[in-house]
Amino acid sequence: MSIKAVHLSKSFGEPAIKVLHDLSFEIQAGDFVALTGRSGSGKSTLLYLLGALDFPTSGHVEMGGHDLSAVSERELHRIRNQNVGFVFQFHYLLPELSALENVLTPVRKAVDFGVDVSSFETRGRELLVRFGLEGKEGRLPRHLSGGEQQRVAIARALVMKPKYLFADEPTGALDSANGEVVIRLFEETNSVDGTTVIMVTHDTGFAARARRQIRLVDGRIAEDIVNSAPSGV
Amino acid sequence: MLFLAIRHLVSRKKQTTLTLLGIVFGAAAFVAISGFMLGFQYFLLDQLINNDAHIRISAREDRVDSVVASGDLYGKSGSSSVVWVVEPSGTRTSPKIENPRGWDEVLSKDPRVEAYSPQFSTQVLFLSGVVSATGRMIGSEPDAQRKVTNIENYIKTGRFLDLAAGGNRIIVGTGLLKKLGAGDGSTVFVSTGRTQTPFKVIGTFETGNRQLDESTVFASLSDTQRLSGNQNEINNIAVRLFDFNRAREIARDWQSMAVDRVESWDEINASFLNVFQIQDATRYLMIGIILLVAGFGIYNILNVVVSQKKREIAILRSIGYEQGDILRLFFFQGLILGIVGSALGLVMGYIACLGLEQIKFGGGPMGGGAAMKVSFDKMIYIRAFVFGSMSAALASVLPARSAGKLTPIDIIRSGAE
Ligand SMILES: Nc1ncnc2c1ncn2[C@@H]1O[C@H](COP(=O)(O)OP(=O)(O)OP(=O)(O)O)[C@@H](O)[C@H]1O
Ligand SMILES: [Mg+2]
Repeated sequence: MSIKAVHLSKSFGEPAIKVLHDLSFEIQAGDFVALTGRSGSGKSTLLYLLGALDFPTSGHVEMGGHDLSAVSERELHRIRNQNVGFVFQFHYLLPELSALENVLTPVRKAVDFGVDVSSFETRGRELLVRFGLEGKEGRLPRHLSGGEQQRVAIARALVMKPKYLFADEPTGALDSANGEVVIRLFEETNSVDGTTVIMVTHDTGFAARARRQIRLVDGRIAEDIVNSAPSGV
Repeated sequence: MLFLAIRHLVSRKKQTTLTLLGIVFGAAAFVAISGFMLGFQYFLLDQLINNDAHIRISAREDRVDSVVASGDLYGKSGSSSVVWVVEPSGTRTSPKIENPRGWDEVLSKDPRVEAYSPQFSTQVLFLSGVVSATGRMIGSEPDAQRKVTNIENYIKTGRFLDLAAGGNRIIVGTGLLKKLGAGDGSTVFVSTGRTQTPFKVIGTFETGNRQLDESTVFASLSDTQRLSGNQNEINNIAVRLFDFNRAREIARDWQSMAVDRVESWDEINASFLNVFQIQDATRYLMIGIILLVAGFGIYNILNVVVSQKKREIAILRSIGYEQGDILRLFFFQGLILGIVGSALGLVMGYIACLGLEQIKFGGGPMGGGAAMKVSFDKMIYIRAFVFGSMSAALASVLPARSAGKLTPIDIIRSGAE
C-alpha cells in the first residue's frame, strides 16, 4: 500500500513553467512524512499529485500499486472518497452544516459507491468525541473556535478510515497550542490506525517529529532523510 | 445532494424568499390573467358556437361589374362595343337558396350533421299603435331550429315549439317588445312593404345580446314565407355538427359542390377569433416577461452563490463528489425554487380568480350586471406550473454546469492565496 512517484513532472501555464522536475521516490505504507521547503518550491503541487487531486504533466503516481493516471473517472472519485483524506490550511467546512454533518459528508457520498456506511457513521461520532468535541456535534462551524474547526475538518478527512492522510500546512492558521493538538492527532492516527501521513509544513519542530523528511528546492528533492529518533512516535 | 441543496436555500432565507416571490408572482399572474381572459373567451366562444349555426348555408352574392352588366344587356358579341361612362359596381343577392331539395339530400345523409334547419329570414318593419321599429323575422320549423341552436334556453315566456302550429304567431325579443310598447299576448303588425299583417305575440326571449334582443322575432317558416310572398323558398340553412371543430373543413367540402354560400362559424366570426389570438399572444408575452425576469433573478443569484461557494465545491470534489453531484446541488436549488414558487403561485392565482369572479360589470354587449367569467380550466394551472418550474430549472442550468466544471485544486490553490 505504498505511494510511488515515478518520473513526476508538473508544468503550469503557457509558456510552460516547470514546477516539479522528474521526481521519483516511494513512501511506505504507515509512514509519517513531512514535506518541507520554501514558499513556491512546489510542496502543495506535489501533495495534490500524490493525493489524486491533480494530474502530472508527465510521469505518474502509483497508489497501492495502481497507476492513478490509468484509473477511470469513477474509480478516481472512489479513491478520493475512501482511500484518501485531505486537510488544508483552512478548514473549508460547509457553513450550513453542523459539525457532525460536516464530518459525515464523505459518508453520504460513500453510499453512492455501494458502501455499507453504518459503521462509518458511528466512527464519525467517535472521532468528534476523541477530538474533544463532545457536546458540540450539533454546532455550526461559525460557533466553533479555529482549533475546533480544524479538528472537525480532520475528523472529516479521517471518517472513511482512509489509508492515506494528506495535509497542506494544517497548522498554518492555528496558534501553537492548537497546532500541537493537530500534530498529536496526526501522530495518534498514524500509530493507532496505521494511516500513512504526508504533511506539508513550514514548522521545523513539527517536521522533525516526522519519521521521514523530504525537502524540496525549486521542484527538486534537495534532502530526503529518515529522522533517527522522531520524538512523538 | 437534495439535502445540501435545501440547506443552502434555508441558510439564505432572504435571498430565497425574494427569488421565490418572482416565481410566485409569475405563476399567479399567469393563472389570474389566463383565468380571466380565457373565461371571457370561452364564454364568447360558447355563445358563438351554440347560439348560432356551426355552418350557415345562405343565398349567394354575385359581384356585378361592367363585364357582367354588358354581357347581360347586349349579349356576348355586342358587349365589346359598350363604353360605360360610370362603370357599374355592386352585388346581386340571390333571394333564395337555389336547390333546397338537393341540400336536404346532402344534409340528411351526412353523418357529421347533427341537425339542420332551413330558414327564411327577412327584414321587416314592426308596428304597434303609433310606434314602429325595424327588425328581422326568422322563419323556421321550430322543432328543427331548436336542435340547431340553443334558442330554447333563452325563452322567457311561452314555448318555442308553439310556433309550429302556424297562424301568424311570433316570439319576440324582450328589447324589441319594450321598444314597441307591446306586451305578451298583444298583436303586432308586420310589414315587408305595402301590406301590414297582424301577428300575435305568444312568447318572448332574451339572449343577453342586446342587439339581437332588440331586433329579432321568430316565426314559423310558412308564416314568414307567406308574409314575404316567397312560398316554398328558403334563404338560409343553419347546420349543427356533432363536432364544431370540423366546421371549416366540412364547409369547404360542401362549398366545392354548391353554388350557394357555405360558411363555418369560425369564418363568420373571424374577427372575434383574431382578437382571441391577439389576447393569447399578449398573455404569453406578459408571462414570458415575468418569468424571464424571475428566471434571470435565479440565474444571477445562483451565479453569485456558485462563486461564493467555490471552496466548498472544491472540498466536496476532494472528498469524492463528482461533477454531476455538484451540478445537481445547484440545479436542485433552482428546481426547488421553481416548484415551490409555482405551487404557491397557483394557490395565489386561484384565490385571485375567486376574487375576480365576484366582480360585476354593467352594460356592454354582454348585458348588464353579469359576473365576470373566469376560467378554472386545469390546463391553465398545469401550464403555469410547468412554465414556472421550467423557467427556474432552465435558469439554474448554466450556473450549475459552471459549478460542476470546477476542479478541486484550482479553487483550493486560489483560496489559499
Ligand atoms: N495553477 C497554477 N498556475 C501557474 N502556476 C502555478 C499554479 N499552481 C502553482 N503554481 C506555481 O508553482 C510553484 C509551486 O507552487 P506550490 O503551491 O506548489 O508551492 P508551495 O511550495 O506549496 O508554496 P507555499 O509554501 O507558499 O504554499 C509556484 O511558483 C506557483 O506560483
Ligand atoms: Mg503550498
